[in-house]
Amino acid sequence: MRKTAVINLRDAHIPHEQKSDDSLIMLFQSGEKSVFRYLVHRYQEKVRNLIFSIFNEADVVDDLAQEVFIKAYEGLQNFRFQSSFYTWLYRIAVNRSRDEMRRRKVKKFFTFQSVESTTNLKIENLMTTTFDDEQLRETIEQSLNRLPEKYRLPIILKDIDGMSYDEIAEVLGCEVGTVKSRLSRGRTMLKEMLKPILA
Amino acid sequence: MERLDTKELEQIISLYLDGELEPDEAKKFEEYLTAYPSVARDVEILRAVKKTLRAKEKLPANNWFWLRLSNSVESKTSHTSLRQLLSRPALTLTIAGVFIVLVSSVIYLKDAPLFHQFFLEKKTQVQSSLMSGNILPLFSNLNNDDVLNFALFGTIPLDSAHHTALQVKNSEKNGSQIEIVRKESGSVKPTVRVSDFCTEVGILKPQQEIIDSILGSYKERLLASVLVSENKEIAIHEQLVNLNRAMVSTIAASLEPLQRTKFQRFLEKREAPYALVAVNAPKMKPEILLSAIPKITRSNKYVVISKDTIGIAEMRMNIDSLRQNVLRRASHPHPVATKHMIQELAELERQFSNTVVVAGSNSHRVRVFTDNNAFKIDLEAPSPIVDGFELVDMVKPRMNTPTFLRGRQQSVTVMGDSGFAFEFPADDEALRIFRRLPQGEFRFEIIDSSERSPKMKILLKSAQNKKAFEEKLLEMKKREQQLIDLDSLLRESEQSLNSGKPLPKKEERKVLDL
Repeated sequence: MRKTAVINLRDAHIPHEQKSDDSLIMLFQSGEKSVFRYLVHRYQEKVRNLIFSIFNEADVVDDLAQEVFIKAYEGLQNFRFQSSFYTWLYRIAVNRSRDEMRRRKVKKFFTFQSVESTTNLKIENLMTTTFDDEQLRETIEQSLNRLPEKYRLPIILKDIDGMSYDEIAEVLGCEVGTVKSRLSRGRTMLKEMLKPILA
Repeated sequence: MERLDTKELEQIISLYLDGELEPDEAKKFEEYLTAYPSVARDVEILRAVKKTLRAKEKLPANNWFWLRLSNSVESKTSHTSLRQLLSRPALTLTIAGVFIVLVSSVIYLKDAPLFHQFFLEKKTQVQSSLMSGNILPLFSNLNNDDVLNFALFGTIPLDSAHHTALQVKNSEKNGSQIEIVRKESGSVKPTVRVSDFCTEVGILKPQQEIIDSILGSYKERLLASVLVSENKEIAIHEQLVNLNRAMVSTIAASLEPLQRTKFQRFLEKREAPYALVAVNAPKMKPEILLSAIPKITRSNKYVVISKDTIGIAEMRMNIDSLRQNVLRRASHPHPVATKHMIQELAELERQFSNTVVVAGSNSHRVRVFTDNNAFKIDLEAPSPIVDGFELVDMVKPRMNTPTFLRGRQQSVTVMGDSGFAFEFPADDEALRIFRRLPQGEFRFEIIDSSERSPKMKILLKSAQNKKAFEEKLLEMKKREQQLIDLDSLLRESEQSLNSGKPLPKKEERKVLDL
């Protein structure tokens, strides 16, 4: 989808905080690099929470989010307005998270850790107890974390971030049809995991 | 109704939950769910999952994100751009040429690191800020009287009428604070002049030059302690809160013991926040004193306040460049800066809801309070005195006078936390009593050797003693007993020790009215 960035001349009188993403990016590309801070302020919490949803670890969030924005800063000069800044930024965040997940997989392989088995254990224990909302939330999140990445990411982007299919396709770099099928497959897998507890 | 194929059903459930089915398709699917309750249960499970995930708890906002990011971006991009430039041979020669030109204006480049970190903006903008003198020291027009007033009271006026002032406070109880204080009428603090100080303390002419040098050196420190910009950023050196303590210590170290006694009285008379504790220490040589004054180093920590950030940032400093900025700019930044500070901090308080915010490491905490006319910053200062201060710390924070003693300040003087003090007429009898006080718990000294009205002072050495003594006085007040019979107590204990016999009946009492 090609999009044309149009900067309204009246924008010049609008404070930077209120300028559109595209206007700020145009200013950035014309040399006014300081406007990057407004983009950061606008999206830093969204990116942090996306990373938190992917890893469920607060400790890694800020370091990864910083890297995401550094990459964005480095790449913004070449931003071509073919997607929204938001989905472009999310794509960087998702790609950086994938790298991190791969790194962890390699690390796990060499240290012979089995995260899978401990997660299973937790869920099995919970099956014997009565659930309150907090436990339910934890169980759902644990189950989501057990899904393969290709099914987990569309669910996070759709159900947690509320993105549209088109946006998810842009972020993940795939077709809308693929998004739909991965969402339905992922949800089915989730349902199978949770059925013994929630049914 | 015919049962759907599993894969097809999965897809339809997913689209249905996302509200992506057309209205007639959705209606048809709902009929299907009525016909197949097991599928309806699956849909309910997934609906619950979707709802729970949507309500996933968000992380607390990170108010320091930009501060950290901007530093990373700055350092990363500066390295990258240099690498990129040098990898292009055609440009290398040009750079070499430009470098020669730039050497002549190296003064500007010296400041670049400071402004990179201070403004957290792109390099070219930062350099243009420097060129146009956008960063200025708030205290660029101080004279020696102002510096002395800061030393004694921690106060620097922000307007010529002294209605508004920046004030630093430092106490063990309340920690360190920087405040903008305002008073509608009159000045915010008593003001003293160097000439008054010299007269009252008995400073001789050669000493006056040393005092001037000390004040001049600290003036440099103050120059670099509070920086303001037209872009509304403010940077306050984190050790500004301790600077006046170091100043009083340095001044005291330059004095003779007798002059220190007078200086002590000078401080007491004006209710200065610090009191001297090492009055009898030998006088320091001027060259040692001046070299021991803490200098602004290349790397300094500042509390940086901008429209959307408050944090502690490491900044490099070049006094000469700052001074040049002042010279380049005709008008003084005080009024604008003060107004900005209050506005910005009011905004910050609104953003941070008056919460403690932490920057960098856990050892630094900053808390901001504001109202319409003033603001206060609480700092968790890392050390009680300025880093790099190489002299003996000769001062302690003055203790608040207990309420019930306030009417008796003629005879009772309260000093620093290890110098809770009482003054007495130093007659022979009193001297005899105090010389026999147990060593280690109390210390006394004659504070005025003039024959007319010699006075002596008893000092309690520790905060615990001070507290115990205050409690004792409070207890006595409750019993309406206003007298302490120290002499008889001492005599009793002495006799008891010497004879090992029971104590005789009291015959004579020396009563000291506290």
